[in-house]
Amino acid sequence: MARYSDGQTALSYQIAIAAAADGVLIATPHGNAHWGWGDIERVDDGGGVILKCKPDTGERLALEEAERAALEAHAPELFSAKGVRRESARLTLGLVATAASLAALFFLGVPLAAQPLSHLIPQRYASHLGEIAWGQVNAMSAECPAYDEAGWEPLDAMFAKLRSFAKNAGASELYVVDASFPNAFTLPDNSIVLTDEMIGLAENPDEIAGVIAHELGHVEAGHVMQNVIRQLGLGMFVDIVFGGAGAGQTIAAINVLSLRYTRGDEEEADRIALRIMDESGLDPGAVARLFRRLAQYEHDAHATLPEFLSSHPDSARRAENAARFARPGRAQALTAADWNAVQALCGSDGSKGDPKVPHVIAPMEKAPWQTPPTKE
Amino acid sequence: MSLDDAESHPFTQTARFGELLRLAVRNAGLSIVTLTLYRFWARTSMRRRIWARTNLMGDPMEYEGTGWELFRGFLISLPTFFLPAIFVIYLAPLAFEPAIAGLMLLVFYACAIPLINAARYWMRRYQLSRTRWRGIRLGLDGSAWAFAWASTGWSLLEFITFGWYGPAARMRRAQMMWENTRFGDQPFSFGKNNSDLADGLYGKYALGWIVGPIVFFLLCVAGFAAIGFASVSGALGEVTPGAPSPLFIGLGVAVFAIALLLSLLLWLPYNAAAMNRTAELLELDGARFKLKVKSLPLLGVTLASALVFIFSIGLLAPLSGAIYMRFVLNRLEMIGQPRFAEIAQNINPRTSSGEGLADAFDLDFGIGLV
Repeated sequence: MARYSDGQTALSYQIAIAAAADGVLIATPHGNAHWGWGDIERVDDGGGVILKCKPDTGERLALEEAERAALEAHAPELFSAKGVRRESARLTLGLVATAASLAALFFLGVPLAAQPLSHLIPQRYASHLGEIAWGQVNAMSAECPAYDEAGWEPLDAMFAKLRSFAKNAGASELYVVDASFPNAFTLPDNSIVLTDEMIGLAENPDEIAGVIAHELGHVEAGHVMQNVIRQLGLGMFVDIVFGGAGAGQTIAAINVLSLRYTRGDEEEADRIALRIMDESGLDPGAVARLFRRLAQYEHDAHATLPEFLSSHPDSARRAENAARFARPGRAQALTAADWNAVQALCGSDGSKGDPKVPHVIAPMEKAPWQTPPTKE
Repeated sequence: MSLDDAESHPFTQTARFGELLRLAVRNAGLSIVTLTLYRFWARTSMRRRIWARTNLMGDPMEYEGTGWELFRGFLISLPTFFLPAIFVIYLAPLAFEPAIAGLMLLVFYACAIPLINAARYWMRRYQLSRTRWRGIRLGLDGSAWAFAWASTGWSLLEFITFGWYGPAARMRRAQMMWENTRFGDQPFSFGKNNSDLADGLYGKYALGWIVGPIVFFLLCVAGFAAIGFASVSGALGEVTPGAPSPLFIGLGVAVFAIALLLSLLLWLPYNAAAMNRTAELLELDGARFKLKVKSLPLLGVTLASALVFIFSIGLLAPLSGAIYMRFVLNRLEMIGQPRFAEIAQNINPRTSSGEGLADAFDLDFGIGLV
């Protein structure tokens, strides 16, 4: 006997059924019914067989083993694995294709769109991001213990000269901070930040000029905002596709200091830096030595690569490239006296900092000394 | 015939662990290759499996929701929820002053609390409307927003009373949910003849509420004492700023793990009692329900579910849910019977899509528990 529910009340009836060539004959309490094979569907999930008939009125027919065998002889497909399968292979393939398309859209489309989009972002947004970034800079750096005006002036003058050969860099300013690691980075408001350890690591002023020129390259190409757009795009992608409010927030949290440029960005900044150095009358080859030394520094100290070295596959190749543009015999960016003063700026003493012994870092507001002198 | 004499009809959950594991692993694999887009179909298949293996009086439950419906709900949630969320989370911090952006985020999260409650209600409404037994559809009437605001108010009371209102709030939420739940055209009733819904719960609740913080405090003191002793005896080694010693980290992890386990143990009697009480207060046309959950088995299944979740880094979350659901269903029984002949089909229209917001808030850990 099969069990039958009529879909009108919650009663269950023991009834007789019979398989026929064109369907199932059911002796319901309300009279005989006929379900055609083409209208019958399984509603179970591979356990005991339960059938319904299209259109679904709530009628259900639960089969015992004997009835199942009788019906299976007439409609084997209904009782195969296919009979209870809900999702087709086409659906799965479609979802894989959709996922791949979405990934391509975000991982290829967003980086491609980042450059044109970065030009559309109003300056006040970039300035606002700059403020956020400055908060992060101030949290990880300290006031220079021995800020020296005599060191600042030649450095700022060198920066102004380099900046004059960079495009879109009119609003860019240079800042020096006291930090426990050598680094240089560009903030969204186009501020360029040098750490005192970075100055300490350089052996001559042209190397520092090369670092600054590289950062000006990022400014000229608008890499920072492009990077922010890429990070935001990734965060939104994670949030939307994976579902979950704020799931991607961590990824997209605008930790501007930890944004890593793409290899293409770095190579472009390098090219621009070499041009700026050349047009400024400095020797572009000077930076090659610094690249080699920074790579060695990373190797010795097991430190994270400074920003302007990050994403580069091969510092040796980078150094080699810079060396090709060498213009030996050109005057150095600063006189020996000025270079000594710059090295003394912010307590830099020309010695390589030990990254394993961090400085004592005190939280601070943006210090007055970080603001360069007003130009007349 | 009194209720004590009435015949008991146990619910049985016959899903084997192996088949649930196979389905969960398959779903996890497909979810990975589809960047989780398959999750809607994965959730549906797991529900269908669990429902189909849940029997009452020899007849199984039936889940007839589809992945497409969940996917449609997700698509609807994109402009209605994700766009505002993206604006507040990503764009406002760039466009506005930190104070304004922070205020917008605060308002967003404040709105999220009632929204989560409403989403929970909509999720339950969707699931019940896709659930049948003997061909009769279940349903949930009432306003999701009424539930959301009431639930938010109860949460506020819990906050004001440092959690002491918790058992009453839990029972009131259950009451509001169940009194709007229908099997066909027959509504459930909840606590019909009980003025005190939380009767018998507060003694067990006090165990966690009073003893919990004391034990936690003592544990912290013991942890600090151990660290102090280790520090004095030199076991921590040379202390470097910014680089805590492994022993320090180990002690911290141990204190956290013990606190978590003790917390579970202290709250278990209450949780078990609250689950049993919920079933006890439930009634369907004269039929009553009984749940026999005990603390130690509940601890076992909670730990098992948690371990499955943790060691699969969340990929087998539906399996965790299924284990828990199987545990509960196998301890549930119906005492007596409703007048089945009087229960007619549910004529309320079904919602055409479901759970978009519940998906956004990750409310159901993969399967959802009605």
